[in-house]
Amino acid sequence: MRQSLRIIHQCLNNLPTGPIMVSDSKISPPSRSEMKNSMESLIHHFKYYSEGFSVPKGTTYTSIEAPKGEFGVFLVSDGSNKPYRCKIKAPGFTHLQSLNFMSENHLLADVVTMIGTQDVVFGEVDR
Amino acid sequence: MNYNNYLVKNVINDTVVYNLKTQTILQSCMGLGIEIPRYCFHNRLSIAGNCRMCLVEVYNSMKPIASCSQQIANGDVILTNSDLVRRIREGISQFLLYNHPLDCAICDQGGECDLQDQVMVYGTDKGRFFDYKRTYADKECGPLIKTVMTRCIHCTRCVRFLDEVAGSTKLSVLGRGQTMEIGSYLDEILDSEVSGNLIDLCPVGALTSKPSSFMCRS
Repeated sequence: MRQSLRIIHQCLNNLPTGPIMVSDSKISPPSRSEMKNSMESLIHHFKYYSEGFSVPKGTTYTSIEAPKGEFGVFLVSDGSNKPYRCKIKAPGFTHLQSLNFMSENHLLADVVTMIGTQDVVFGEVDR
Repeated sequence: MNYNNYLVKNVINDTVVYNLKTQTILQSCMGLGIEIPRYCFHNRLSIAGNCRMCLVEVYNSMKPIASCSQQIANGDVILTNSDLVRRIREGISQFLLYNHPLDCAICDQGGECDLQDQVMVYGTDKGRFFDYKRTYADKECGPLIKTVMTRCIHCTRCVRFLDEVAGSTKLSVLGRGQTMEIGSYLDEILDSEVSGNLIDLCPVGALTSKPSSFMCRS
């Protein structure tokens, strides 16, 4: 824990100064003060927060390493600003599939412990 | 039949194309699927050519040309997406927004506004004018049309529609330059039975529907 805190402190001290976001309003929303003074910024702000971005047609599965395992999102785009399909795969989904392998030749009562050990959230498996 | 009497040969964006002699540059570009931004041009109305958003570059022409009003000529070499044209569109957008009120959040047209859409695609990302905006008094146009005249970009679509379709001359352009304004010399309401079309015709939120104002957002 102390080592973690030390790493965090080092990171904070090494952060460079300056702006943290792109100032190009064509790809990022403008700041509040710009939005209240300039019509161009207001329009861009309005469009980004009401219509959003239109992404090209295609599919993607992108996963990250979550604390419990692989957490992935499958997205299908039809070229509009809303996803045509969005499926979320939580880590518990793969863990629960391995229950069959793990509980083979064990007692039925052990299944409870195994599920508890894996820390499966059934709500996220179901989606 | 000799088609050469009807056709002209052009180069549009490095593609050789044949067009009807009677077409304007904008029409032939539309036929080719090339998008040219415009505010004042409308398919069913006469051509005004005053918004200057549809300017394109034509070789051997001293100045950029308003494509909505220029008939296409044989041998025209047209660029619709050159650096010059892009800079012009940005400039026109900036001038239009110079006097446009910051109303998007409370404007009924917000979301289906031509001005918003075209500024998103063709405009600059930041404004350079921070002067006071000029304002107009709102008009009383009857029970259907709600007006916020400060939002007007003077495309004169409403004037032309009333003149050509409705046969009424109740709206016209008053003044020039900074003081230019759409209005009627005498304060009269629009009694034409087709005046409700102005709500859809207006590219910005200057003329919006009065019965459904602030009721929904598209």
